[in-house]
Amino acid sequence: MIPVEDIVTLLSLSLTSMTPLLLASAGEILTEKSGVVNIGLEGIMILSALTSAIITHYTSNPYLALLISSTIGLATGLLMGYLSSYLHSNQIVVGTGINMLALGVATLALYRLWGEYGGSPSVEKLADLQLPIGNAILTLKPISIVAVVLAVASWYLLEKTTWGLRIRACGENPHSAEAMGVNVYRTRLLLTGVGGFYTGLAGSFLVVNWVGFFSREMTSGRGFVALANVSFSNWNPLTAIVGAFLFGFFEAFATWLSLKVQQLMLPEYLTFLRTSGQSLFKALPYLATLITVVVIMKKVKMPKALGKPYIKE
Amino acid sequence: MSGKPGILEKLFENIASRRREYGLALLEVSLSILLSLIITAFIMILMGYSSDLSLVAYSVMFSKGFDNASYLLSRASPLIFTALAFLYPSLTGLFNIGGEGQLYVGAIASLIIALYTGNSLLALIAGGLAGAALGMLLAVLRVYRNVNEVVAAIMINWALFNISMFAIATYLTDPSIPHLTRQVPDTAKLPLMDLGFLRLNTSFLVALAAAIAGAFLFYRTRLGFAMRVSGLNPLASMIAGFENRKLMLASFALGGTMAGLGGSVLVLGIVHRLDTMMMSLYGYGFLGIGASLLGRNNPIGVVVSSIFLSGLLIGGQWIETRLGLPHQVADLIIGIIVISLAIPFAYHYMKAVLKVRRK
Repeated sequence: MIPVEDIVTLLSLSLTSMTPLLLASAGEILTEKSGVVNIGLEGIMILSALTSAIITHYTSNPYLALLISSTIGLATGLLMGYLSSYLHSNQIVVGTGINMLALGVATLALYRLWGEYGGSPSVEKLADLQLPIGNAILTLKPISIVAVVLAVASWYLLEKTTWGLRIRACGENPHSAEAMGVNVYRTRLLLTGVGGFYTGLAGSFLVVNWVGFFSREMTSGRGFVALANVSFSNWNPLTAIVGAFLFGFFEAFATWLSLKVQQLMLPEYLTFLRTSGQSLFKALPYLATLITVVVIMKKVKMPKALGKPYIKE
Repeated sequence: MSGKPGILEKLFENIASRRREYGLALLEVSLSILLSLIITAFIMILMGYSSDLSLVAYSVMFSKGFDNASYLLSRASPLIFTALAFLYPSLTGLFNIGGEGQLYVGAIASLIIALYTGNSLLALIAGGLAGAALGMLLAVLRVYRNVNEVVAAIMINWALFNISMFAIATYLTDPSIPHLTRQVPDTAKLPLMDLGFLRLNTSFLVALAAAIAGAFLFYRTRLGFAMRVSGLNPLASMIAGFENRKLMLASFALGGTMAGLGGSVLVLGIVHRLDTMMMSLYGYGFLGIGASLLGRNNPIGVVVSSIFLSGLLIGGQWIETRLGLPHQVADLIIGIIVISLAIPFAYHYMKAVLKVRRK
């Protein structure tokens, strides 16, 4: 039915779409396990993608861009972590604020540097890996491998080390954690920073390893899909790999389908799919994500103290 | 007429007895606005704009943003609604980030009904109902499937943005102007009232009425009391015999209605037609969150903050035409206001730290 080339193309696209989702959700799992929910993932992605475009534009060095963008992610994460642990802020409010701030900064910077709102000029990208499968070629992004490695490492940290136990204690019962001798504030601060670092890498990936330029709309809700994936994967970084692949596949499938209808012979009443119907394909991954989460959600167990500010007596 | 002075006296007494609380809220809000203006100026300087440019920008922004009261109030009306859409569920302890999507369906439902019936009241009701249905959906997912309402709302917002675009482009466009929809018939438009010094858009009155009705509901009725208790302490509310689930559903339905009505007044009272890129709709829902937080979670405060933020946005357009700066400077200011508003604890924290240091 569907030729091998199509399957391989879909697989390449899915793996690419998976990467930013996996990075952001693995980071967010670490953050949420410590008890902080960071709604500002989207904003962090925008800021780091912007930074990547700027750095690569001026230095033509994508590696430097990756490094600096993830540091920007780390810094934003630390800001979020500081506000939500030491200052007991409402985490949803701060996260929303970060998202708004990021969009403002991005627009201002785009206009200042390149005189337009639309997007940055094209920049240098990292090379893809090409793996031949039969007649077809599977394109694999180097950062995708990094993402999987980081997810596995995060799982090991959380589930197999004393550090992981301490982190989980902060998210389940901060009072007991404090009694155990864990500094809850510092742990939450650091873990929100680490989550920001991962998300920064995700934002940078969008620019230096995928699209090759920056635009304000490029993150298109990926930060929130990552949040959906966190609950989908039941706060387990290994399951998050599967979840990210699934959500990545939805996105890839919608893209692939919208291109496919341009080539196929369509009956008269379906020709709208080539014009105004293209918007429907864009809506598809969000709906599929939502439905998946709705079906699976009842069975998961979130950290007990998630999102609640911890107030020391 | 004898009853009225009594109510007014009571109101003043109420305000007087809470003077300290209101004063503190006002102080926090003013400080966060000031802080945000300073940080934004700093960011602009960091980006290489000359340091006095931000001062010039602010003076243009504040002088031009607030000088046309008629325009200001009409711009503020949909924002008041989307802010209330965030506010009412948040009083019950829920976050309605879905105001954006609820606004889209409200606007489209109103436009369709206005086109077919030419009746503004029916169109308003349709907009409110469409928003309410979508709000209820979020509440049902949260209550019965334990799906985080923020994540669900964002997915729905993005999906609806694209679906609405499709619906507008496919079914509603004006054949002679393909990028615009057909116009709301004159009979269904919300009228302008000429008060001499002000051409008041009826939309603003509708928004004001919604805010006052909400204040009454939440602070003067049993249902509103139950909702607030359930938001502050779900356990206590359950023990008191209130049904938390039903209260959540009700507050989300109310929030959705508000955002839907926001879409209605936007279509019926202000823009009268939509465009295929949804430029006239996009962003009101998100901005409503900021307006609600700046209004210190108080329906009347929300009216004031929505007017203030609309002034900033209008001012932002002026700095674009006057100074060639992007109007998104206004978005930046609003984002930083929101972040700094979230830290009322900073003040207490600093006080505590200072105390410890003194010892």
